[in-house]
Amino acid sequence: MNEDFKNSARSPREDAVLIRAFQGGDKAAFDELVLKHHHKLFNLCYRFLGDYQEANDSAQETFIKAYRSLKKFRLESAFSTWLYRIAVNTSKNKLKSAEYRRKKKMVPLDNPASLDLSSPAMGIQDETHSPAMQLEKKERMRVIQEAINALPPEQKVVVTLRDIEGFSYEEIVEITGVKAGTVKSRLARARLDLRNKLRSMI
Amino acid sequence: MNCSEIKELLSEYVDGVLDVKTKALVDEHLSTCKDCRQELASLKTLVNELGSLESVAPPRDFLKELHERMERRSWFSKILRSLFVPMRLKIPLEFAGAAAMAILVFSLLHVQQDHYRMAEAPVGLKQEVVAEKGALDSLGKGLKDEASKPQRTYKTATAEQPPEQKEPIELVLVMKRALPPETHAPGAAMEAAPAPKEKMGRSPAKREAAPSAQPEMDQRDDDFLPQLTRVVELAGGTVVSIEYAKASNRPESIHAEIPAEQFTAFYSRLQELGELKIAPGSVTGNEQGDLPVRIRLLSSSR
Repeated sequence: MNEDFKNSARSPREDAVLIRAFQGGDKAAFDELVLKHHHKLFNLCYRFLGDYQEANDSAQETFIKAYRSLKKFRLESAFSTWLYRIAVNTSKNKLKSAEYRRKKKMVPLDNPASLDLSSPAMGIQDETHSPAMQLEKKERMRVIQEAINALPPEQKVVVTLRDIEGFSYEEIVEITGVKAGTVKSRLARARLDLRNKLRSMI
Repeated sequence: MNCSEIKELLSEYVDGVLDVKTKALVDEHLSTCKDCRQELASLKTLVNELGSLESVAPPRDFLKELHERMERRSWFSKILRSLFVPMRLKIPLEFAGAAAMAILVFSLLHVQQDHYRMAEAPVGLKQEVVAEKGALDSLGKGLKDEASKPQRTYKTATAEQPPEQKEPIELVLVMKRALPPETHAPGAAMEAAPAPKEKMGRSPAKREAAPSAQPEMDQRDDDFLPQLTRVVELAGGTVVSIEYAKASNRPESIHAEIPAEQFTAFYSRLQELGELKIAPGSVTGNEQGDLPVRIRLLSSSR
């Protein structure tokens, strides 16, 4: 995971400055907020939904909702947790929607085309250029993503936020709105489930 | 702590969120249990594996696409707004819907009421026409017509009304100036019909109208009306209502209910009060129960 990116996404002061500017009528400040958070937010949506196009829809929808509500945002909580809460709820709703279920039936999520992570559009930050290594990595990612896809949505949210996006327990409590004890138990169950499914790999 | 209890805590142990005391217990167990150490190692590998997953980048034109979407939404909301902002008056969709529903319900009810009014119209209208005409007609000109008009009315009404509703039997009574003295005397017929008091009690509200208006009538009508009422009572019937002419305040017609079996006796007693006309075929002799009768009163010019 890109640590610089992780850190840049959590700079509340900067977010606060941009939000105030937006609330003061500077619409370009919102674009800056989007560019600052969209990478991580998109990744969260992708890990949660397991489909590139659906993740894009969900991320776009999240920013549109944020744009509409940002004028009323009071900076009492961190912008990032507020934004990810919107993203989690939007993605959950998408997961429940009939349209999503229909698509899932028609195009299996393990379809190599939908997980073509080496394509330029996907923008993988890969340091190794060996085709054999790339193939192995790609295969590992596919298997792990499949295991994540198979988790119940509540466990999937928690394990994505904690182990993939690196949020703290407190932040996860704030984003999901569930109690700390519930977060811990869901995370433990999700990890156990993933460990059992990926035992041959790890 | 046994192995299963330790394994439940390993997830929090990896994240370093256990309290000091619990962490010390887990550490102590792990130092002696190879199986749990392996479990911990595999859990750490999984967490590292998930944390090192390549991040999937959004499309390069993410922001451009976002602007386009927002623009589309904005156009859609502008169109919606423009539909409801004629003359700078904003009408919420919910209100517009409620108003449309109210208009629909009102118009449906209105149409239905008209329909009911149409169905009820023939009876009411015909009765009114007869009453007004009767007030205007004089005896010389109108007697012949009077005898035939109610008949037409009755026949038409019978055809249009449901069979269970009884149309009143129309009678026209041309009052004599001097009443026959024998009608005042209580005869054998009075004993034969001893129930007028009970029957009279059936519609007290309507009957009250008659006595209150009587002091304004002239002497002839004042004498005549009790006689007519007595005839109705003798037949075991009930005076339902009395209509008065607007201009003269004289009694114009009397509505009564007469038991079917007493109708012949009633008719013959009425004849004693004056010249009586009845529409032919009004009474067949097969009637049962109380027959509604409307007696129109006409003054004799003699």
